[in-house]
Amino acid sequence: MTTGMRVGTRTGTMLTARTKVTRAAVLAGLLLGAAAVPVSFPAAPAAAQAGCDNEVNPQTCHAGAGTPGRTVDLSAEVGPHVSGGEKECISGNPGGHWVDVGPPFASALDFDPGPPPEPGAHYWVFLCPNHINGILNPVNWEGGGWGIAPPEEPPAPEDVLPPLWDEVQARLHAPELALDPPAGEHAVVKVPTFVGILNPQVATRYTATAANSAGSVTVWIDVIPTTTLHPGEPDADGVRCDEDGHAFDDDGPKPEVQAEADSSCTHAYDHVSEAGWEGDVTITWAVTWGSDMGPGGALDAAPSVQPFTRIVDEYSAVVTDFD
Amino acid sequence: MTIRRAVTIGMVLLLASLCMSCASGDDDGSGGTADGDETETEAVEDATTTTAARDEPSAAAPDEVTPYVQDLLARYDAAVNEIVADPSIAADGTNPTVEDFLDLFASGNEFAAGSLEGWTAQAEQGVALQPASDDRGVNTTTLEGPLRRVDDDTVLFGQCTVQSYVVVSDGEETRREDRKLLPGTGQAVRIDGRWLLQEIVTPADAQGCISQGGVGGGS
Repeated sequence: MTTGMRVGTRTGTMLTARTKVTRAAVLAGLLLGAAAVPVSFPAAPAAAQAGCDNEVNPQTCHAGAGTPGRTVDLSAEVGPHVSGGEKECISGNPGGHWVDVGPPFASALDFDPGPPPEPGAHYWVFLCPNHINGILNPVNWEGGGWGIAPPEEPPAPEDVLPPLWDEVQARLHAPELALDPPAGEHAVVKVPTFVGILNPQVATRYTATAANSAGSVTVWIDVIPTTTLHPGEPDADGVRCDEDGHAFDDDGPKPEVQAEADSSCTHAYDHVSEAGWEGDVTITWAVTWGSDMGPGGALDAAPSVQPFTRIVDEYSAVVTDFD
Repeated sequence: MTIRRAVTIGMVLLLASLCMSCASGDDDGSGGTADGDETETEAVEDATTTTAARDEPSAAAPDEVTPYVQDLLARYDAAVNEIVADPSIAADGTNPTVEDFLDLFASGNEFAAGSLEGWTAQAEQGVALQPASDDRGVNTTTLEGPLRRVDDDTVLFGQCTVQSYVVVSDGEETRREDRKLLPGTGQAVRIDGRWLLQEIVTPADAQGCISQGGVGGGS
């Protein structure tokens, strides 16, 4: 009894799955002899996507302080950690495996696989034990093809995302601060203080492409940082910072003038603290991911925080030489 | 507000059916339909209404802000769905739906202004978007994952926008999109004690949301 049905793989390629008890049982007894030679199977069709596609409100495509303007390709770092996807039984049952059926036995198949595309190619079928398809069958064929070795599955987005995310997280750093007045020196009430950031991190799209003979997949992760200065004194609001903060210009005008011209990452303290106010600069990361095969979503990244202490005096010290 | 008006209108109709002489309240007859579960929306509405007199919670406990962001997104969807159905209203700052839309953002918000400009351009091209089915709005935006605190007055969030619509050009249906899934992020800010939308972002080349079952989505 033979039952044919159409099934889809994640590559979008349609294969014919067949349930055949007797012949499959014979095939299951064959031994595998796989050589590590590339095979020719249909590549995964890339999903057709380009640009932002929000037709309802196109403004979302332009929003953002933070739409990444920089792209970093991490394929070289990620690729070695990605293996092709492993073919799984449609039922999810374990134990699926490829079986070499030809050429001698290819003619025994109940469909014509056509001639071998290259000398020495064998025909492979994927056998799944205990497949349940209305009735319990000992084995089920779920796909097949010519090749020197069993067919590879193309890498899937979920194969690429974890190593790519590991690489990206390793690139999300706490800000390195350049305080003015410098750390350890005293700030003065009502006089603006400045925080420069020595390792600016800008909105970035990180990408990685993994490929094998069956196809390729590109996954990207968009990282949009928001940097905020928390001065640390009571009732002080957070202050937005550019990615490089705001370094005080020693050759520029007075602090008040520089702060008024650009309030990014500046704060004038209202309260004295001999022990010092415990402030910090926090980078919060908005992270989304996607792939050319479709799935995507948001990722959660812990904020990167760099604390500092600000000692604040009522008046600036005046050094007087009495001699 | 559109949702408030929709709920109010529903209540008015109910009261009117019981007692014609009792009907009162919002007499604006242009009320739109809120997407999603109206009961849920009403509950959020009640929750936010009762706290309107005092400051809404800070992002120190982001979970407490979640219902406010959900409410903003529901009102955003309600306004967007009305505007894209007749984008010519986008140019009219006194239109109640446009006012509802602008009320979601701080004064002068660039995202809001850019959105209205985009819809005005659509109107000039004779393009409108209608729901693809009776049970789904054109645009439905839902939170994905927890809010992330930037500071006490700012949160970031992941979001998934589900879009189902028919493109109507000069009165003719030209194209249909069914359950298009757009993942992205958003930002809300608390100004004068009120949470407001700052922006909603759809990254380039992004399609499909985990929470909605991938590209094809589940229904």
